[in-house]
Amino acid sequence: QQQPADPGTQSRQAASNAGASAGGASTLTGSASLGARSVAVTGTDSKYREDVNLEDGVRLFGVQLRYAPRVGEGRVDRVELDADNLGGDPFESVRLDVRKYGAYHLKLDRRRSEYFYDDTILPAALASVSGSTGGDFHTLDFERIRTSASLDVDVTPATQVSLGLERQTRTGNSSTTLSLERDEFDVEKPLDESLNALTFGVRHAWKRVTLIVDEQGRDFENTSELFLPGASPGRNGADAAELQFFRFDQSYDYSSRSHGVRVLAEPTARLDVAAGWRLEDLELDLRGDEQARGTSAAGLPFETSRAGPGAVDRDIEIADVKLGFTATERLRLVGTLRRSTLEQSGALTIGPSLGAADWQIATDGYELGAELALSPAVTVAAGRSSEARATAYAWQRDAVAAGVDRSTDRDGYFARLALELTGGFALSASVENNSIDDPFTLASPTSSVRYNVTARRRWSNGLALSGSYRNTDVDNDRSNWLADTEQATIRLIYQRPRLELSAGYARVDVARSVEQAVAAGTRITVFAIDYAAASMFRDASAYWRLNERFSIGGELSGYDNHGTFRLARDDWRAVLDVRVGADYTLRAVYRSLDYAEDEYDSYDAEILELAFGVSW
Amino acid sequence: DARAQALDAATTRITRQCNLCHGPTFRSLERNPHATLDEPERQALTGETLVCRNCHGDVTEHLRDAGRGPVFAFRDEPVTERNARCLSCHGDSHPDFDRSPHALAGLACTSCHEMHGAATTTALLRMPAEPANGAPGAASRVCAGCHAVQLAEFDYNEHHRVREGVLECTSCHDPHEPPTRALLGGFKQERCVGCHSDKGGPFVFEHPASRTEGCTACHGPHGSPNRHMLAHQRVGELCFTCHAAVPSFHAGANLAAPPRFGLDTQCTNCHSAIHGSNFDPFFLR
Repeated sequence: QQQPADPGTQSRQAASNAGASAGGASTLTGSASLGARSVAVTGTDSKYREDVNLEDGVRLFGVQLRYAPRVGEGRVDRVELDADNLGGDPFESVRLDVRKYGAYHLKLDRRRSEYFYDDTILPAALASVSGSTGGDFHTLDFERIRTSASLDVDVTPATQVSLGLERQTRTGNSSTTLSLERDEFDVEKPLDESLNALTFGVRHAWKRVTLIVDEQGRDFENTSELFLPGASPGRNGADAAELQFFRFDQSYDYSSRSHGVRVLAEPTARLDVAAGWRLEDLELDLRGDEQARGTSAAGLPFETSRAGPGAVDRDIEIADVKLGFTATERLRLVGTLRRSTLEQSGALTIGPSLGAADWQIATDGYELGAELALSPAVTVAAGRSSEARATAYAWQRDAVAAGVDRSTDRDGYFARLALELTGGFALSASVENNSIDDPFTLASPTSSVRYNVTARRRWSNGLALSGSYRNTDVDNDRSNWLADTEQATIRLIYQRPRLELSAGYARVDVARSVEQAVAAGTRITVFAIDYAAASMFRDASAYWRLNERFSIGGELSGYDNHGTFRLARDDWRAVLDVRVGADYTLRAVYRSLDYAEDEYDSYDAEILELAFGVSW
Repeated sequence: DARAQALDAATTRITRQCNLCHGPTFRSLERNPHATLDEPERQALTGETLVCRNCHGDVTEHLRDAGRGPVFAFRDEPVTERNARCLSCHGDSHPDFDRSPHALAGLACTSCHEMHGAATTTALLRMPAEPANGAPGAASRVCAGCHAVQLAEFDYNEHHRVREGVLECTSCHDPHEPPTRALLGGFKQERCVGCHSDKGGPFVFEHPASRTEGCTACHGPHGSPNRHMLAHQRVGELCFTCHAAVPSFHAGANLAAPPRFGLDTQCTNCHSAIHGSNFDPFFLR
């Protein structure tokens, strides 16, 4: 979790910003925090790695730099640099933002995150290979890096040109399971994929019309290979099936080109119109190459060697027209018409085997809404929406073919109330209702209703109280599937110049149930699915600036999940900051985590961090 | 040129007068993007000539009555009017704002953004005074001011990494746009596969529920107590909510015994390519 900001640094930066504003002089402010971390974990290490994953070592916890030249001078108005958790932490980020108002805006961003998963879930007592209840044998251990750059240039006040670059990579290891000859085999699946995207856009504004054109290209590559490291008798060692060799190359790559045009117009002072169109064309090439050797379920030797190409072509087209009409200064009417289509066809040939599938989805919809400001304090809004979706899906694999045609219609309405009274009190309430005919799945709603209320009161003495409640009821009247969610929060805050106190509580109750009659051939089994989870989140924090030199603080957050899957987590930390002179800070943070699932995983972790901070 | 000089003179005149009472506010604009309204070329485009008047309207009465006369203060006016003032310039970049849930919930632009003041955050976000209890990013802290439940969901043991600073609420949601499901015309997973490219395919054989209903048919988008942020902890339980018919061998050979597969079955151990497959319509690889 993110470290709380150094209170001393915050105050200093606020003062610097205020000074810059007042004097208009050039300013350079910033802070950096360098330190070391020590971690001790007991219990299920893999669960700790999945959940927290902080490790020992020296870290650059954070760097923040702000530069603003003298007002009106220089080629920049503002430079921001932020870097967090560098030096081996699972979540690193670096951000650079350079801007000259009315001239250009350059943004660079790099985020790296590690993901780890190795968790069989089910206790050994439930393990059964024939019933496939041995657990979840997928593992993941990879890093994802996302790097992006964008440059917006105001060529003239009326013309803006935008250029964007993005690169995403995911590399690492994973393992998955392979069903072959009525047995399960654990196979390796190295991860090596990359996505490169380039975006170019032009926006030009005339007096009453703005034209926006953009082009986007994306290229994706995925090596996607499965292989068996050595020979294996499979998870069911009692049967005859075994593999001496298995390798399956299923690499693919695609190129996508997207073209968009948008026109915004104000024919009159009261009427605005927006019309947009976007077309995306994606072409994917794939290759399958499977080599296997082993013993079949019948105890006979087998060997396969098959390869072949495949391709997928997908076109997405989205068009919409939006109208806004200011009837009076207090009444605004809006409407949207939308049509989108997806057409996709894919085919492969691998050895003697042929496969193909086609999708056509066409969606038409409209939305109408009105917003009325009854007074400066009271605003109401209401509207309705409707959507018709036609879906056709057909697939074929050798002699087996199937498909589905479905028309799904949705009609809904919403109403909202916002109240903003003097004395720091605000309240908003809303209701949304949807009715759906013929949804695609048995766990898709035929009706949904959602109520939401939030309220907040702020007092002038630094006290603030806020709360919210949301109820979402969803059901499918064909399968009698029900999914109800209740969410509530309350938070109390007290803030003084030297003291900040906060306490909050949130509760999320989820219930999903259906008695599903599942047909397997002639046999019908009724499964009573009854999932219930009550999650309670509580937190409290206190920060106290004792004097100019010492600050102490603490945070406590707890989370309990009751019902179908029970777990509890307590996470608390204590912080001590010592100012050394005007520009230096020493910080000590002690954090304790206690995580426990009923029957499954648990861990305790103690994390100590010592950091030296400098600000200027 | 002469027009630029005239505009500059007018700006200087009004600046002097406003500055008498609103000095700190005016000086704070020095570091504010709205200061670019001062540029003659931009004024020529918008047809406006004075910085204050661009947003606060005609200040004649306000000045005449020594500051007691009416002025558009973004405080005592209906929200629709307040937003219209902002959108008169920002409508190009947020053309759908008045159709967004935020607008229809009666929020003003100034609920989240500052108009004056030195730009200390991207997009002039109005940072909440109170601590946000672990919401690290600037945008997420603003969102958490109202969406406390959604922030709490990132406390689940399985969650998107918002509290860790890798993601912001705005990584997936555009606060100025209609809901994602409407924005994307039914192709709901497009936001998700922006990062999870390998799950988005396209595949020769797609999981129909994913293609039509989106990733949220099976996953909780913010967080979940269940593995892989699934709606159910037991995978079999999740799959059987939709799949009411399975091939006969799933029942087992002995019809007198319990069925071979049940709610504790980890269906994805066989159907391991559950998001989609280029080779198998049953997602076995």
